[in-house]
Amino acid sequence: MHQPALDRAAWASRWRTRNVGDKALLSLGLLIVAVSAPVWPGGVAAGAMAVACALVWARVPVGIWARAVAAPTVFIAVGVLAVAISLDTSRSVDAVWRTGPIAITTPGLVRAAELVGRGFAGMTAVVLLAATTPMVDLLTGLRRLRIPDELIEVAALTYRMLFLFAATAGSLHRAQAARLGTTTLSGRFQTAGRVASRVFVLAWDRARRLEAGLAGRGYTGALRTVTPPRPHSMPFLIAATLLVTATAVLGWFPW
Amino acid sequence: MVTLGARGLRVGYDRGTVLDDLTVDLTGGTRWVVLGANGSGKTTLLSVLSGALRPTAGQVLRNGQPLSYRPRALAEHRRVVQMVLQDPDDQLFSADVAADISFGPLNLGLSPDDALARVDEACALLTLDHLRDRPVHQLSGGERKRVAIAGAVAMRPQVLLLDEPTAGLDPEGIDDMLGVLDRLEEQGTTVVMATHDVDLALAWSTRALVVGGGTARVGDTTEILSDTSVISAARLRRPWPLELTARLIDAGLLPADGQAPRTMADVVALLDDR
Repeated sequence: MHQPALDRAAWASRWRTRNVGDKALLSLGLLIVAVSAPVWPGGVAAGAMAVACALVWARVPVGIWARAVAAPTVFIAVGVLAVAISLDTSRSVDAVWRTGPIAITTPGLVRAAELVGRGFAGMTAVVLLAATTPMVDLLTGLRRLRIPDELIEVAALTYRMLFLFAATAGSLHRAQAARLGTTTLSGRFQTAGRVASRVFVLAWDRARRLEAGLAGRGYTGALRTVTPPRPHSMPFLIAATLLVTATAVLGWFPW
Repeated sequence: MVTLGARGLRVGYDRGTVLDDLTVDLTGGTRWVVLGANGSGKTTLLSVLSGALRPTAGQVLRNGQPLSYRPRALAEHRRVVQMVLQDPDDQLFSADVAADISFGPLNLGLSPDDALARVDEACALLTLDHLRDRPVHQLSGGERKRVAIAGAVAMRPQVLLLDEPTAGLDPEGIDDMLGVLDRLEEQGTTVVMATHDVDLALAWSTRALVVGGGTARVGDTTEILSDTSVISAARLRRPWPLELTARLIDAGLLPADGQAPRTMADVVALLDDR
């Protein structure tokens, strides 16, 4: 079954057995610095610290980390373009580059740089948590924060079923391809449509069967589970606090 | 010990009646197999006995008492009788192995600590400890089957119904699964297994229930699987130890009054004794 690299990294992480709250303190602390401190040097420092913690301290494989940040980086880049490029029909602002009314102005570039700095820093802070904490552990942590059980259960079921349906869709697609159903563009569209509709129907059937299966185990409307508690680590908490504090000082101190 | 039975069961689907006036008593043994052709009603029967499916007519009996389908009565029934479905993904809702197994014990009203203790117990019995840190979606089909069984075993049922637990497993996986069922039976659980594998049925079980034509025949496994009329009506075949012995008897190489073998070792012993 295909498993996204980030999910695989989270389950295999050497930080897997750490308390979710401890890891969240580090990740969210860096995120707060990234979005609130001046981009230079605060945002850059937060981003660099998050990357260092992920690759050096938590030892997330570089390739997996790179794959995890690739898509959000593209998203940030597209957003940056929209900020850097502006319509300036009055030609009232000094432009670094201009063609007709479309221009890249100095203020626009500054805003774009801020967006890149904050966006990348915030993203790497979140990826630090995602690459070291499986979804099930995150959901357990959210339950302890008194997030409604119904939301947690829907999220947990969705997470579990996503892999199941992705595997089914993959098998269906491979079966179609083996029967030459993807050799033309129209064939590929038709195959995609058939797979999607089939997976939709299977999802309904799976839901019915799962409900019956759970009823047999005493399901009464709540998917209550319990996992072994993970103790806090004082050395980790101290180190995380020091790192976040150092980053914040670096970010806000008037150098 | 809990006894399960059924009186006059009738169950039908859109395609027709599957069980028709079926009466059985699962007494006299703790190792049962349910045999029958595809579509004969094996899964339907197990589902009815577990309380998951309500028959259109007839009764399920537990210790001679009819099963009520009121929520409390069903909950009580499920404390005693658990069913493991053929597809483990019909039961595994959590990506975390330990969390999924803890579901049943928590529904029994156990405290989180006691539920975790049951998880440890079930993982040890099903040799799942090395899988506890892996997500369910990363496990093989055989491993997911063991997790599904662990989820039922953690509730400490007195009767465990399994729908084709060895389907899709390699030979070593089948041996591991049978080892698990042996350990469960040794701990006092009555194990009822639906299967197509007549050789496995003969080697492992002591009592057999053959479903076919809407009804069932119950008896000693060796006697049932030696009855060619029952075998052919259920679209089964005679297990190879019995088939081989019959041919050797026909060829005059074995006496006709010997004990019917159930395994290869029994066949070899017969040949050594002649």
